[in-house]
Amino acid sequence: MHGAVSPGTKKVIKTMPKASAVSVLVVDDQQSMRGICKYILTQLGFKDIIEAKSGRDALGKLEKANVDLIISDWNMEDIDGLTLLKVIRKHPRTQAMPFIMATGRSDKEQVKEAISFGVNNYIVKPYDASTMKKRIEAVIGALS
Amino acid sequence: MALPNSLPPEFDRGVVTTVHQGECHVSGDVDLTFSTVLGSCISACVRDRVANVGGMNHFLLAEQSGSAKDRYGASARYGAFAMEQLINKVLSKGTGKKSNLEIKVFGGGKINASLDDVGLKNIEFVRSFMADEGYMMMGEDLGGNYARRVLFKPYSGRAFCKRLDSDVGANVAREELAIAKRRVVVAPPVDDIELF
Repeated sequence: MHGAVSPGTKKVIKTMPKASAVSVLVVDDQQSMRGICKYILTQLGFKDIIEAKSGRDALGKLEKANVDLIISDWNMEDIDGLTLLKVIRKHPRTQAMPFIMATGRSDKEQVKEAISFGVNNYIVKPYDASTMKKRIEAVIGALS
Repeated sequence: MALPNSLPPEFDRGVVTTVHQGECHVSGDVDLTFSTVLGSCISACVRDRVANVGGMNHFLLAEQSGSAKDRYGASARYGAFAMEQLINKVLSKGTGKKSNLEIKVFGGGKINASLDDVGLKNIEFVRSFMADEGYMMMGEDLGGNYARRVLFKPYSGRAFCKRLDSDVGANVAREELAIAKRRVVVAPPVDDIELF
């Protein structure tokens, strides 16, 4: 699916995406949470999964790799999920990148703040494969 | 339940908050004590040593099949979430630096044959979590054939663990068995936001 992301456009993926062709960047400072997310994504058919252990690490990975979807934790020690989102939305190459925020609680004010900075969706931990699939499909379209 | 005479004086004053199964509490109150009773369950006591803020959780990975060996199964996901929730709460009330955290863990007893080796699986989980995340165990009292009462002072980080007699252990075992039978493994997240 690389090349489908066109900076500056709102609809990122117009055709029904195949999970195995979607590159996902998983950002979480807890190894166990990255492992859980990766395990669930693998269950859903995703194969190209890149891990970043911090917000700073994610920015480094984004410079080197073509990413179609970001799933990021909110609470991180160096650059938190919201700051990462703001940086991504400011950069021309990444500003249209689909971004799902994962967090431990559904705080409405927090969600509203994330929406104001352009988050595409939101997932509450502990999540399962079915919830993750719904959230991803709401962002990039039904998976084939 | 009257506290035993052997209890260190600092635990015998102030307010006591009980931490039940599935809960997680954090405070920086110098006079507060967190208290819980554990059978197969695990409680982690996490403290920010610089901010003098700490918290306690209490969770049970109730799956008795081989699925708990699956490190990313539903049970382990729930445990990882319980740990992350406590750590994040302490970080947000404290300095925000993981290097300032000290962690003590308790529980995982084998108190009832019906609960099989749930306690052992809980211990395996928490040890694995600590190793994966690079945290050092500052104190522990895990395993054995008994229930425990654990008291934790979030301000000072002092913890007190008392082994309970078999009568109390039997009551704890009954409660945990009820939880295991209901298969309350993964609490549904509070996700009532429909903004998308």
